Amino acid sequence: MRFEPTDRVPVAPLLGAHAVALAGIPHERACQDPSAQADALLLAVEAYQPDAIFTLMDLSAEPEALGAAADMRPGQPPVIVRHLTPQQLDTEALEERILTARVPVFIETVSRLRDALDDSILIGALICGPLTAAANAIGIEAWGRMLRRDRDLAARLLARLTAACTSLLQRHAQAGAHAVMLLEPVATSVILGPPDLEALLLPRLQEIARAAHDSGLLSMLHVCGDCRPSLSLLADSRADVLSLDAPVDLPAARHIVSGKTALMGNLDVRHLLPHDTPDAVYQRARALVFEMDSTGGFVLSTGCEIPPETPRENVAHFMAAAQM
Amino acid sequence: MDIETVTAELERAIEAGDEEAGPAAARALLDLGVEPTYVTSALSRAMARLGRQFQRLDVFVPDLLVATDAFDAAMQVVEAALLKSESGRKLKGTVIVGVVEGDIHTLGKNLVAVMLKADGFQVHDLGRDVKVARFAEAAQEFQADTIAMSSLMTTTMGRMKDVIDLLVTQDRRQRYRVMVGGAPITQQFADEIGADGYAEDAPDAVALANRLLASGRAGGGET
Repeated sequence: MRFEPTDRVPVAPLLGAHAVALAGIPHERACQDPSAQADALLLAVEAYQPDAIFTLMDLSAEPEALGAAADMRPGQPPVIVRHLTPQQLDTEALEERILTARVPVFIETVSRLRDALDDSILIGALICGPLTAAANAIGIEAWGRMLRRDRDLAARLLARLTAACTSLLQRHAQAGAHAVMLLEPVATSVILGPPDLEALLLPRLQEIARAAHDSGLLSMLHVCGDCRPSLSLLADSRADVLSLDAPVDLPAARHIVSGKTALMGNLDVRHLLPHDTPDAVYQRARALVFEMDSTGGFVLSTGCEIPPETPRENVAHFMAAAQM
Repeated sequence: MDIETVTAELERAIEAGDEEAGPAAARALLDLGVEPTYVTSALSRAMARLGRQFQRLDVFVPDLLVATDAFDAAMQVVEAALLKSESGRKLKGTVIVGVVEGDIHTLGKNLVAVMLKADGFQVHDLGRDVKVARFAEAAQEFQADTIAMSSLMTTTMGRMKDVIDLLVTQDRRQRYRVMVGGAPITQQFADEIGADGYAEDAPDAVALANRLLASGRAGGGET
């Protein structure tokens, strides 16, 4: 990740949902019980020996803490069922509010992982980025309309959420995280075009990366979907690692980001990982390692979190592609 | 102002998402004596042009959202006139759209619904978290020829197959064309569950609905 020589390519899949299924723990329990979540992630560490382990991906935890209502459904990630108005989010209280509801579950999970693991494995906290936290709290359609009809309010909410994210990442640093990964699926190019990204979000991402570094954390940024039009801007986010989804061609992306950030990714979790053969998974992962591993600055990972139904053998073959 | 100028203003207002200028231009056109279907054609052109811009990533989801609001506002003006019109609007077909059970992400479904409507389809929006049986019931209730389902989560996409399986069980599968879409959905998945087509985004859904319509057949596979 720091463009230093390694004896092999690091491998760090987003194991969360798969780990929870592997442990036989109901997904909704892992989102509410740090002991259950940490146990599941530790089981996955034992099973696969990754170079990093990340907390469970839950894009409703921060919005719920901010005041939106989340619904727990058996075997599924929680979903936001009642949104806030933009005005309800337009308050200085977010820095404290974001540390409430289920968010402490994830901070405590980090703490438990740190207690159980030595420093040879990187512990990463996944948190909603400011854009995704705002959009999920008020509803993505409300967010999109606000972006066009009340740009000043949209900018102000992003500033407030940036302060809240900073407050949260500091807690994760105190709990023992080595890295924080901002999840920004809403920054995918079809939703947030490059002009809006550059004007509104990029300064905030830079601010958060700086805050992460000040807290001693590695700064990581994950964007779902196709973000090719925005790659050169995302490279300026000052994140140490840019985690990209399967639609992005990583060798091409490496030329665009030109050493400003390490790249992480990006095996397909929609079809390949959960539904193809172990050999197909292995071959694709090996090909990616071959294409990317000549200059460092690459972490083999998945394009997003591995779905719970993914066969264990497929994940094992994915890991083997880097660990051989 | 003449009809040509007002038509251009209507299309500009829709593409710009102007909720005041759009319906005002639609009203002005009707006042100039044009048929309501002339106005709906202009609205369709504007939305189709916006869809192409979206697929080129010249515009983005927020632009589509405000455009759909302007479209809806203009359609409200026109719909009253359409009801009084002798010719009426020739609709291409009837589509029911919905987000499958367990999933409440409506953005893609809402865009698909408006763009299908703009293209001349009759659309019945079942909303979100729609139970498997409701899709089948609604298809019958609204005499639909197409069922369009959306899912944003891998945990709920299996409900699409359940809907298709229910139609098969009820011996009604061949009556409907089934379209699927959403972030985790792929053409391969659509093929595996026996859907007639997969659409990547809202403009693609309109193109797919038209292809299925042109194929002249009901459900059971795109030709």
